[in-house]
Amino acid sequence: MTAPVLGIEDLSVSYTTPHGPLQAVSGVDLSVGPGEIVGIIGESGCGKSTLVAAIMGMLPGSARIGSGAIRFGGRDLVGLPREEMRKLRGGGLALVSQNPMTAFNPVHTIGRQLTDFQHREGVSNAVKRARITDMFDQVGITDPSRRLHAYPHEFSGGMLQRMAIAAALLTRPQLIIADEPTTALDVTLEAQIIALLRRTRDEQGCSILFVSHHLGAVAQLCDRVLVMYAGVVVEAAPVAELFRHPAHPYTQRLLACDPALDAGGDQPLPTIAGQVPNLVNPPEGCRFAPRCLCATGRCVRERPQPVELAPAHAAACHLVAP
Amino acid sequence: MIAAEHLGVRVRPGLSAAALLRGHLPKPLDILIDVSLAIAPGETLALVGESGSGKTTLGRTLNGLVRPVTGVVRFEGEVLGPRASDRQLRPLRHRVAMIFQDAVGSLDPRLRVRDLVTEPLRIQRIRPEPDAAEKLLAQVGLPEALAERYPHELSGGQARRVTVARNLAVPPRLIICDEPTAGLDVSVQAEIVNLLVELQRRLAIAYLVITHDLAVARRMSRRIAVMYLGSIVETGPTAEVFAQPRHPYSRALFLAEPSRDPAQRHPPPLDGEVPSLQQRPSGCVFQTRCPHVQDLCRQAAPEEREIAPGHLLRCHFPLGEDPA
Repeated sequence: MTAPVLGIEDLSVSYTTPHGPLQAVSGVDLSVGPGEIVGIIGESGCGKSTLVAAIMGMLPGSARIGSGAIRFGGRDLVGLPREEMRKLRGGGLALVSQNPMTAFNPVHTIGRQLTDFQHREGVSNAVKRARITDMFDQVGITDPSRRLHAYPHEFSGGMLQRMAIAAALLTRPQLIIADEPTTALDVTLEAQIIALLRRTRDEQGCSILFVSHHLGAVAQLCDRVLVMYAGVVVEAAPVAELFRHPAHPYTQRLLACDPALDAGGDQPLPTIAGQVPNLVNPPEGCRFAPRCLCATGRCVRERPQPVELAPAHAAACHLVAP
Repeated sequence: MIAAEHLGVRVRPGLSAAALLRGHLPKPLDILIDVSLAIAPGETLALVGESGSGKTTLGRTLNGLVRPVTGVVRFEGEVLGPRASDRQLRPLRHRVAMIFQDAVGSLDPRLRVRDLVTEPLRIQRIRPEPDAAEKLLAQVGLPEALAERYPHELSGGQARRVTVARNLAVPPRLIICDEPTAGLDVSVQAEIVNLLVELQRRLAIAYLVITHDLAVARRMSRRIAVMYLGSIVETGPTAEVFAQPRHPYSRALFLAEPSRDPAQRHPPPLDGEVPSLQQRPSGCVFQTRCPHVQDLCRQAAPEEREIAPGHLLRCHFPLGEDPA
């Protein structure tokens, strides 16, 4: 296998709180290969956003990277000087955020902002503008030259999300991190954006790390999926394998309680009783043990290590057999 | 029990000095056009459609928060039209409850949960029993200890439950649930759906479930209405409409829902976006995006007609028996 574009090894991030350090991400391993679309699914508080912020070097001051490495472009991003990190953002690494409405500066035209994004290119503004109209064409924005003079508020959410993707592509990224890019969009637009991201990968060959809590979007877009719970990766598998043979009890419950997979009938939908554990004092053993229906004494005492079940399919659970 | 007949809602955008100086008077916008629906006691009707289709405005009109410019709302013998007075609307507002989309935002941040859930009683000058708050919280599965908390101390799911409890204080005939599961985690969504279904079974409340989540609509409702750009384009039994949508928009909407099966990946069913209300298409509202558009669709708006018992459609060329 060729070297991954992004390789995260044993990453742990904690936040300082009045009650002690909150362990938001604990020992996460993750790799994204060239041209691969990797999905991260998880519910609120599972550490998705912290992970994204850590990769982008945008963790708040209260956060501390306890251990681990984030390898990108032959370098470890952990401890990289600010100036070096700044050069990577928009130069190799691009972020498409959840809310397209706040991704742009409201007081400058779209054209001005997308021209500025290319400040590293060293070409004339006319060339930059030509690149923008080209890119607009690719992401399905009609009448591109007129759009350059418009302000962000003149566009709909779906249109702005296309522009955010165009903006990311203008910087010729090796890796696009898409953080819940379809959450704020309607379902027919969501389908369009998913198709656009897939086409982007096919045509530009860039890798995508797609973070979402929407199981359907992940199933439609990703090649490989990681499931996070309470700061740890509980399962990683190729997408078809994950949806067909989920191995970790959390993944199984999560898939079961999705209303979209409901067969109908009068039975109540399955739920996951209990709450995500407090990560200031996380459970000693498996973090899902307090809510797991099949937890044993060992699950409570001992933290499970990933068990390889099939090629590229691993689950961190004492109860799964290889 | 409650019926809307040929409702039309129009708003006049705010006047701005700049527009007046240039001599522009803002054109009134039609948010709803000729919308009719009926909800029977204890039944659930789901209302689906994309942002801007008028789902929330329709809900607010049924609740008396918005006055229609045409049409009437019939509720328990009252006929409430464009000129209904506040006094006439009062029974509607008292017996038709509403769960707002932004659960935390709909709760007064300065009140404790105890006072929030009993507030409707005080508004109606009913003296709450000493344990009224605890009883209401128990009905929605919240522990008594929560009674002393403020809204910002609640999780999304808990806040949603508190808004339900508030609505039960004065027993309603109908609850309008505006996006009851939006913004919640998958497992919490399931909890809220279960709660609403169970309350309905126990208290025989009718629901209008406004949602963009087709799975929630399918789960909770017997009948479904599909809205697009201020019109209901299709209404019918939920199972029938999902199995065989007859309106091209219903079909596209259902196809756009991302499948959980990675083996089933298909291209997006619709290009483009919902047109702006300021540029409402002539003829059929869906003609600018409809894959089967014909000349007639551009010229004349289709009338609503019944194509099967209880199945209403607004389309000149309904999809055939085999929508493949």
